[in-house]
Amino acid sequence: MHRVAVWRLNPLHQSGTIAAYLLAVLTVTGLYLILFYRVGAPAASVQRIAADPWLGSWMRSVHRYATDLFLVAAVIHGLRVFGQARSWGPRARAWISGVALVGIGLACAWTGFVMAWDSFGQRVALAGARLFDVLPVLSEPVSRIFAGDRAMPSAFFFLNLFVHIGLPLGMGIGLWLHVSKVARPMLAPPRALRWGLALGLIALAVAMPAPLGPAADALRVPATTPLNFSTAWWIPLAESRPPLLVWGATVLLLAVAVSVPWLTRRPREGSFAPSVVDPRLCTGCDQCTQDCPWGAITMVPRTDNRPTLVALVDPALCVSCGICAASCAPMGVGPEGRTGRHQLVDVRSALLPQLRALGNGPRIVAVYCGQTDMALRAHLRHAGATLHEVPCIGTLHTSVIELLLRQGAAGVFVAGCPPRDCAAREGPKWTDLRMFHDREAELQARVDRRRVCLTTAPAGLSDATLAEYRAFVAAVTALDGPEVEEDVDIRLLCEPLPAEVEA
Amino acid sequence: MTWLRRIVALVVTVGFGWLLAKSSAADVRWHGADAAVVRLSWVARPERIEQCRDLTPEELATRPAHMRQARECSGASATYRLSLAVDGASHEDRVLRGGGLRNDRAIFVLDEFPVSPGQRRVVIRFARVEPAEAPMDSSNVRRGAVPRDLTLDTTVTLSASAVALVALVDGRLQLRTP
Repeated sequence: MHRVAVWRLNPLHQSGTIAAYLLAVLTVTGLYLILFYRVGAPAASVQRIAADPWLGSWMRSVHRYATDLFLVAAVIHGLRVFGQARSWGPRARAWISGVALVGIGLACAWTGFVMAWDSFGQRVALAGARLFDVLPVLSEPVSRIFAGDRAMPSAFFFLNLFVHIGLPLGMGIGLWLHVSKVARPMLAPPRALRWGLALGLIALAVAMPAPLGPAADALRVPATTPLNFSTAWWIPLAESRPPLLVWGATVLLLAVAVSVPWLTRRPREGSFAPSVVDPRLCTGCDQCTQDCPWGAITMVPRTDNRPTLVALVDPALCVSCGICAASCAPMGVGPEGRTGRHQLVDVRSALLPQLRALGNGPRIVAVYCGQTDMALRAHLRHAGATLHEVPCIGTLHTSVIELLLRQGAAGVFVAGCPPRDCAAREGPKWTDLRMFHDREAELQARVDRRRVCLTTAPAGLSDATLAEYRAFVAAVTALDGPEVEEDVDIRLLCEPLPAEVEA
Repeated sequence: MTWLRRIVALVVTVGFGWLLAKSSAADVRWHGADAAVVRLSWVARPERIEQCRDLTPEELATRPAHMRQARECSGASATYRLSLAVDGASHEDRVLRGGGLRNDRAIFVLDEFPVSPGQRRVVIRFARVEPAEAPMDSSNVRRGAVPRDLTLDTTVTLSASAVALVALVDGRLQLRTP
């Protein structure tokens, strides 16, 4: 996908925001359509809307295609989240509400088809009635409404309209639940994608208006009907199988979908251990609470006599992304084994000996996110880079970069995921701000920025990333050789430590 | 972004849009081109069959004062056999009971039978299973119970995609075509 789309606009990465944006499109077009819909003459009013070539026809088609696209985008979003193992623990609420949103979307589409009351609407209504009639809920089978021995009650269409309007309100609540555990939720795709989607939907609606079958007639059984595969794929299945089997399959599917957070959960240790705060190191600067993408850190009063607040991590909200480790200048917070201090220790013990072993060779360290594709690593290794993998570049403490440069690296090349594809949500954004825009826990001013490169390495475009790497190496090679400091004091790389810790 | 990538992106976008529109308008078989349908649709309140006897003075004497009713009845709702034959071939033959746990609620008949278009002789019978001499509750007429034997024997010309609707109108089965 990256080969045909600029990664900033990759619709796969924007699937969640596209789905949310399409909900807004559906609301706007739905409000227009509702003005012309008549519960007393549903088929005639929809035929009239569809026959209006100026606005009605394409407004209805945009409404229909936006529904299809919403469900496609929502399913892709779910599959991506599942594929990135982001469906468990504190994200369970987002997952379950996402499943509910897809379910409500399908139900909403169902009632929308019935509203049109064409041959397809009749088919959808009959399939639904057949399913409801096996439930011991109503005293009279719903299917009898459609038998044709009496006129269709307009109360049915009123109820259907009521449900069609009520369900989106439920979707609003679902969307709020979906993002309620996320700090700074993104609900809108980039402007270019917004316009592209809107204009694309309008162009599609004008070029290929959504189908509308003949008005429903209870005493006619059409040989075929138009069928919407995105949102009504289940209709042929429901028609040809016993209703109880359909209900059983639906309940089973729903149960599996809802239990994904429990089926995929990980033990909260090792790579999945929640962050912890070392209160001795915490200066109360509040930066980790600002940077945490999940709102898992709050500032609370200290129990010692120091005048500042102290950070506190809620393990129930922490997803162990490690972003906080790089946000803390004194390196006092982060998942166990991944704080800034641990990173420095790892670099000293593993990476620096490798660099020194290179002798006079090109000492370029390529730091890459563990989520980037394998081809990139092979390319960088082949190009002579000394590799250093991090769980997310947003967890990379800037002191590590400074240490590498002061200990002999000629340059540090940092390759992260596209911002909207970051499993930790905001890793590339914070890294850029810390390295080049003085965000707290910033890369110190004494570090030569010409020796640092931050780039986006989208999957499938490792050759482009490699070209960037080569250009960076060429630029660094043109500089004077780096000054190697034999012994770098960790305390010089970060904020001064409190007196009691120093002691 | 090279021109080639722009062109490929445009082709992919247009292709996806085309696929989206096509998937929204695929013609899918419902009843088939050569189908006509006989649809049975009515509501029938079953008759109540009661067995009554007069209690003897000795039996009455053993009962509490407030339960001394001279005549005691127990009853059940009748069952009905529904049969449908088209050109002599049986399409349906089953016994229906009233709804509810005690089967004393209405019977909802709603069935569809695909038949080949053309002129067809349709015979429908909806008759009580219990013998005619079974004692009846005197309130049956008041309760609007269905007649004991409903029969429709008619010849109808069915066109493709047409529904022949059989309904209960004024105590008689009637067939309607579009």
